[in-house]
Amino acid sequence: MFNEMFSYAFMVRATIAILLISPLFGMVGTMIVQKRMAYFSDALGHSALTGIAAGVIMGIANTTISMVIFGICFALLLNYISRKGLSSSDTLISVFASCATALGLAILSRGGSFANYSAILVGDILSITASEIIQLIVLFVVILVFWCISINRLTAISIHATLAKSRSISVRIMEDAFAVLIALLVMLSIKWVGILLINALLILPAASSRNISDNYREYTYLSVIFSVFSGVVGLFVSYFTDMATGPMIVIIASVIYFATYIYGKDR
Amino acid sequence: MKNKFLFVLLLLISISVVSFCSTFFYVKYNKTEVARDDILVMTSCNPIYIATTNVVGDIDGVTVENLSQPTTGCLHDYTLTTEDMKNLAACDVLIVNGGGMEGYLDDVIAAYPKLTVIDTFEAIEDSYPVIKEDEEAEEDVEEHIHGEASEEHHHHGEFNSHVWMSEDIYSGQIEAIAEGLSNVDNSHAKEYMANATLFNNNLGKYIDKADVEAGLKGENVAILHEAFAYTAQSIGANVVATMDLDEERQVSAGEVSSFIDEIVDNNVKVVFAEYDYGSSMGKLIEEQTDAKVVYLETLVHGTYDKDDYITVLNKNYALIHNSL
Repeated sequence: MFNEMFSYAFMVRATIAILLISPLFGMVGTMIVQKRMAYFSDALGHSALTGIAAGVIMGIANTTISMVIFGICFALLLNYISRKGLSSSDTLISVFASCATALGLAILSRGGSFANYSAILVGDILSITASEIIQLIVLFVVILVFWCISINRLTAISIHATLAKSRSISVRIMEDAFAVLIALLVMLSIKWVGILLINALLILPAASSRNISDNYREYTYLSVIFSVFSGVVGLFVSYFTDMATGPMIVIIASVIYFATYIYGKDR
Repeated sequence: MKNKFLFVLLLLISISVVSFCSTFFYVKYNKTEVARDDILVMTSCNPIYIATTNVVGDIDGVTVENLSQPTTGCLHDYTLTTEDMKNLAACDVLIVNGGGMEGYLDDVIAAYPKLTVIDTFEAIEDSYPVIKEDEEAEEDVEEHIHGEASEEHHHHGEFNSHVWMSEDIYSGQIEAIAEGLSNVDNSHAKEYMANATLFNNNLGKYIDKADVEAGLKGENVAILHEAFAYTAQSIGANVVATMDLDEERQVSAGEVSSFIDEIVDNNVKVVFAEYDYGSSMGKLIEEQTDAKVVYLETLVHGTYDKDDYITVLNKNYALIHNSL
């Protein structure tokens, strides 16, 4: 059964991609859940459409570049306006997300051509190429290095920003750096996961882990385990049942979430 | 503490076992194997599948399978499933409509550079009246005719690629399929060519559009799906207004009003539409104008029957005739 599965080059590439993306989702997801940024990452995912639209308007052939640039600008702008405190952050994120999505849809659907871009809504990990895997390896290394260097400072900020500031931690720089990190992860993996599901993959493993964890180390390890497990099992099931991979991964991750929720509630 | 990790371990094992067992039984009851010696021909959509099954006919050792399921909505945004990817990895030749219809084609070619792809649009675009979508397309054609455009930069997205809706162009696609298959499987070349000729003869013999031609030749029509531009071309009608509706299309108020104005100004009597995406707009048009909206099929969905092409086209022409 497994021999047949790995006799296809596309499955080998998809498995490598899952093994690269899913631990990142598990890891970064912990901080997103901790800092209550679920809506922020969702908004970033939706803004991918505008990133593509910007690329189309500017004639950039590789829309991944325009998506990444737009995503980073979008994340930094959101942080900047949120800090001004003129409105609650959920309202601001909602306004930005709706505006970005509408702008992207309006531009891309001009002349009825949205169908050309709609594949990004659901993603397609099976069509990933070798050069795109190299891109994911670079992303993996960058995020891992950032994580090792900054995790203590990020955790301190997430617990108490003022206290972190008093310990000479530059809250603003760290928050911006983390927002850029999320933008990079979301924009570079959205083509494989899809706009509709990317947030579920970021949030579910971390939320499941949070249901049963007693300390931050446990929280991170379990989140990564749940994320990788959902990715591998989801890919396996989707391969043999001919269902889309992204939704299958989310279904497995959801089962884990509900099980840990019930267990965590009764502890 | 121990209980928690035991719980996680048991949870993951349980999910793995349930996933493995359900997948195992699903595969056991659903798997269909292609004999290893067979030539596996994959097609990208229903019209190409019908043409290919007719060209292959009863030739032993050649299996034809289609990528898209009959329930798939629009071909442009079809996403390949794992089953499709497995079939593509195992197949000897992929036959596509082309012309930008299959959005996934570039990914497939990148993933399987050695796969033989028969692009039927490429085979017919210079010898048949392919409809251009906009002005840019004209420049593209000019470049192509004068050989100034490089192969890498020659995109077909500017053309209306629903060419199968014209039985004349479809006959060209059938010939292209027969020639392409003959190159891949030379031992059956004669059979492929003979089957193609027979199917083309059947198209001419059994497709009945004389009444519609008599009623609409030279008349103005409007369309709510660009596939029907070829239906109009086939019966000699002039398309004076086009609004391409599909599941993702949102039309503006200005677009609707100018479409209605075109219908009224050009004295359009019939509007061709697809029921799924055009019925709401169709009702509006019938309310606002004297034109009648006829709901036709685009052949993207079908029963995979060899005679489906002739049956559907005759049904479309009968519906148009009844509306006159």
